[in-house]
Amino acid sequence: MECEQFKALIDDYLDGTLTQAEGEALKRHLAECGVCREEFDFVRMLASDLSEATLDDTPPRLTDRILERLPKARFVFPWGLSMGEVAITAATLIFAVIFSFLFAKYAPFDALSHTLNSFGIFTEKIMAVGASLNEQILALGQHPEPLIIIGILGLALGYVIWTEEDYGTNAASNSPKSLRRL
Amino acid sequence: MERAEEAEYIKRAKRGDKEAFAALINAHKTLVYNLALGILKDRQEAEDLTQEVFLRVYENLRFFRGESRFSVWLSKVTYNMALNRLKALNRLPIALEEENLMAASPLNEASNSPLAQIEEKERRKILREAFSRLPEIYQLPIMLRYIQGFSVSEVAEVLNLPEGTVKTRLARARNILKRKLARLRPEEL
Repeated sequence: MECEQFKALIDDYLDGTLTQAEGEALKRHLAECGVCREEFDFVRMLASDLSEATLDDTPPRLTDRILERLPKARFVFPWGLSMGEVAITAATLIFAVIFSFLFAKYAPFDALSHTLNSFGIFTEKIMAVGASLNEQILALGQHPEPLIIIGILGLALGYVIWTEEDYGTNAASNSPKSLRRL
Repeated sequence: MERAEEAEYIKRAKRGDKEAFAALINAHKTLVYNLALGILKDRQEAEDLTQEVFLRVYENLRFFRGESRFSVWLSKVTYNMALNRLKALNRLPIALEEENLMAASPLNEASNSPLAQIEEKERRKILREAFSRLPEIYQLPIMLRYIQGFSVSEVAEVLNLPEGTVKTRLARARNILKRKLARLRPEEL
């Protein structure tokens, strides 16, 4: 290995990402080569000499100005879910219930319990539960109109809030979806 | 700020605790402001962008899962937003300048730097001055790597560059700094 290749390993060495063999090879080379040793010392010196004091001071009252611009009060649901996400989830659940009403006309629970019974998995008692459940869902599904309206309103509200939460960005690299990856 | 302490502040800020978020701002505003300043080269623009970055981070804090360090996540948001701002201002993206810079800064020039002979205080002064005059494509990696203590892979993640390119830029930046230290006294900078 030549000096330039050893110099390229210095940062990896300080990050602790070299293999043991590479680390040993670098140490041996540094003991023999004054130029690379100087580079190594310089890197360590940079890390100690450069500090935040090297950087420009932030403008006065910057923190206060940011805090003043934060949204007033933000209700956060458990698991950090936002209002928009909760609204969309709720609307989806409502639609799931509505579809289950429609589906219930074909007596799926009844049919399922019969099928399971034919394999000897469930008893007559379970079949009765399946039939009863089916009837109850059918009864609930007699007037699904209010649920459909609530579902549509929930989806619309969720969409509006969710797009607001995008915080006015049109840059793909800064969208919340890309932030999720980090 | 210790990582465990920071994690606690992040947890509280996710629930809307502004005091906790203020602590996060205070801990990281220098990093965000200087990254923005390094790219935008304008104090007012850098301040405005710093505010925008923290507002966006507050809104999107729930997406931060702690898979990378908070400062790395914050730096990446800042870098992307600063580049977008640069484009909005119709200014030249920084990467295009690299070849010209290298022509003016030969890499393999032998360094005769008698570093040990320069007093530490004086050396730091020269170094800081030299750092502030580095071209931004070298200043940003040096800042993240040696001032913020990011690993090479974290610098690469923030700047959206391959690790090899980061290492090359760091080596070139070190070379420039070394030559300045070797040749110049503070009054000559």
